[in-house]
Amino acid sequence: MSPSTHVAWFGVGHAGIYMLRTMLAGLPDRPDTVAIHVRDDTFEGLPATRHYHLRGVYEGLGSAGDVATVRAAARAARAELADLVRDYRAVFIIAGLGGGTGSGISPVLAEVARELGVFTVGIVTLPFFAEGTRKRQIANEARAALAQTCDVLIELSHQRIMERIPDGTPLAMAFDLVGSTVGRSLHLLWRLLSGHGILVLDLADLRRLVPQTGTPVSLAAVEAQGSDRVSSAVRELFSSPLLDHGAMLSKAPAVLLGMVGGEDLTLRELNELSMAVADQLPVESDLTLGAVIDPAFADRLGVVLLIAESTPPLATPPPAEVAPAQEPAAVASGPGERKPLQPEFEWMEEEKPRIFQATPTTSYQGVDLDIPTFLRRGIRLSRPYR
Amino acid sequence: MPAPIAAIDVGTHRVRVLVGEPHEDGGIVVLGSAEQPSQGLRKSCVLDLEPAVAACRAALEAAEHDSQVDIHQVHLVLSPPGVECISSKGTVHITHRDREVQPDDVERVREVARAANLPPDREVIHSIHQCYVLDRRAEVVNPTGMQASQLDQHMLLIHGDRTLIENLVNAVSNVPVDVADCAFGGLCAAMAVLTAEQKRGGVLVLDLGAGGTRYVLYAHQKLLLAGSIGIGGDHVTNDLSVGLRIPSAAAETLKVRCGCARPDGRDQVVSVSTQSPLGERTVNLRDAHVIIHARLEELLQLIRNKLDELNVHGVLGSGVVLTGGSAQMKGIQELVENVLDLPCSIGSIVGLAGLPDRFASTSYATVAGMLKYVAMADPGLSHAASRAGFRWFWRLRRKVRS
Repeated sequence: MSPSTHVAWFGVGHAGIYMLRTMLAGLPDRPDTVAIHVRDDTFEGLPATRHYHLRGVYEGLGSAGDVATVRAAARAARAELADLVRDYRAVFIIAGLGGGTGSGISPVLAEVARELGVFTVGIVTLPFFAEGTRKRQIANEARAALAQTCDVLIELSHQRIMERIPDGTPLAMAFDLVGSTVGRSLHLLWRLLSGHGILVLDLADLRRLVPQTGTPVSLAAVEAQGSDRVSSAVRELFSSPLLDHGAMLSKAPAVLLGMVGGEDLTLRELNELSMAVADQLPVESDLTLGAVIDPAFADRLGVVLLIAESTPPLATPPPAEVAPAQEPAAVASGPGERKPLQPEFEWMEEEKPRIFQATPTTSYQGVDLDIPTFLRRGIRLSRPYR
Repeated sequence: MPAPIAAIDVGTHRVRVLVGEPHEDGGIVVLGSAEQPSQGLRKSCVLDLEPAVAACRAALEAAEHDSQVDIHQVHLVLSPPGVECISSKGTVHITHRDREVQPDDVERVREVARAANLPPDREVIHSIHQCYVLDRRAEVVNPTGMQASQLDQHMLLIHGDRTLIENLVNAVSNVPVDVADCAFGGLCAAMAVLTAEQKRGGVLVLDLGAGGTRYVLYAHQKLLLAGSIGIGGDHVTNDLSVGLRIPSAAAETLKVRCGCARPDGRDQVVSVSTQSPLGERTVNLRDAHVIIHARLEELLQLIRNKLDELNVHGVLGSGVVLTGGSAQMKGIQELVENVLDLPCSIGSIVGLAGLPDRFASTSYATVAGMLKYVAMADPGLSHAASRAGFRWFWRLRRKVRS
């Protein structure tokens, strides 16, 4: 049985469907895809296998960002959602969090899938800062719900991708760029998981990457061409804002590295790439390598890097021994505050402020709130702390 | 003429004392006031007894001098972290033949409603009446004389950590002075700044102190929520000190002078005196604002979670009223409005005559509210005994005296 027959990709909501669309572009073998929305007209021109229209939300006009209503409608339609996922062994749920539809439906869909014993991978984007506090709250709530229900949750921050976009890019193009970056990353990921590999990567590898449910996973994918394609891919990966400019590698407990190349891919290149990545990792880190040959990638190289974060699930206290990694001071591109992809627990034991040491710790869901908020959120200052 | 009352708030930054004289018409005239830097406290908890006692003593002596009143008895504001509330319902059956609710039925139902099953380390600070319900249907103001077969009373029990409360009472008692009564700081702040109109409309009071944050929520003239979180202005100062690598004192000065809760300002470099051999250091004000914003946004998010749990968003017609030192932070109103999605105003103390100008700021709301709280209580009874939930307090008083 080919993997593509028992795996389905779900695009939920406007952003989810958009990413699904860019992901599918140019794929030779189409996996099963399901588009879910509350609005009828979003489906036009989408080459999805199935379309599902969630009824009962504002008469099909849209979600109006009303998560509660959408969530309730999704709960009411649990049986129908179960029918959508029942036949698969694994589902990928793609959604943009922060709006009504993606944030409303995806946690319910993941929950239904999990209950049916279907391996569930959530792939979500988090909103731009400029989109405001309300959206961020919605996104955070949905993300926390997904972290509980998905076997693997891959998060991509719009804000971080935006760092890559040069100033002066027209708005429409910027949004397109962000959407297509995510789409292309998923495209490569799927190539790896479905392709006929020399070094096979499969869903079991993905599961092994995340020992505990709720551990956030970061994804970065790059493509390069030409004779020095390996070194330029490595350069781009290590400077990727999605991997915190490479800093994330230096404390990653487990990494999945996959490459897609044409028939001209050499063993030396494979070796060079894996050595370059392994050099950045801590010694005890677990590196899984995958390689796929695709004739369409002649003279090209696609690299996908999946990193399990060193942090345990959000709800438990951070480990104390994580060594802080100094990252190069990034040029701020957005407003002053930037929330990272995932909380970066970078402090050491003694950073528990001494002035609060003898007092009862103020904690919320296991997080020590006496530690400065900007550190816990990994907000970068113009003059880096430390 | 009732005797003058002294109220004391032993805050993490300052000890504040107000001496006032209640008048028959309900008003209070302030006779004297005093403020001293506080010592030995952190997060509103007593960590070092001796300096704490000395600071209280200094403040009380200054207040005696200012008011020309001998203070033998004080009313203490309690603001420990981790104050919480639970609702409690008492039920009694009316068994008289004529089914008329008698005063002793009302007394009985109060006893039942007050009895809470709390862990031994928790102490009930207030048990506050919410409403009476007859036969599970009709909500009434005063059930005495009405017909029913069942009388329910709903109460909100506000409780805190016993050790933290006892240590604070102990510190003040050691001055030595008699602690007549205690009240929760959040409730005092609400007393000081709220009008009956606001309580009817539904309002959230946030008392943003140095050591912690107290919240109190009224809707339909009932107290629905009260509690405290151990995050306050000191956390903001500490975050600044860590992030900008400046000493705490310099961070405090920077916060008070240039603090702002808006994160999107321009880069602006200012120099900060470190009051140490390091001399002056320059910091980027925008970094400071980003740090402040992150801390306060997180704090407000915690409050928002509480409101969401209670699902009271729709009933807060009068919005949010801020008191406490951090209420003076620039941009805080805007931030509260954004995170809580409610209109926000800065509280001002109402109903006290003769309050010195410097005492009219939001920082003095708790101690001013304590005066009003005492004056409002039934003058015929000792305050502590008259208020529900204070039997433990008498035990404690005996213990401290002996």
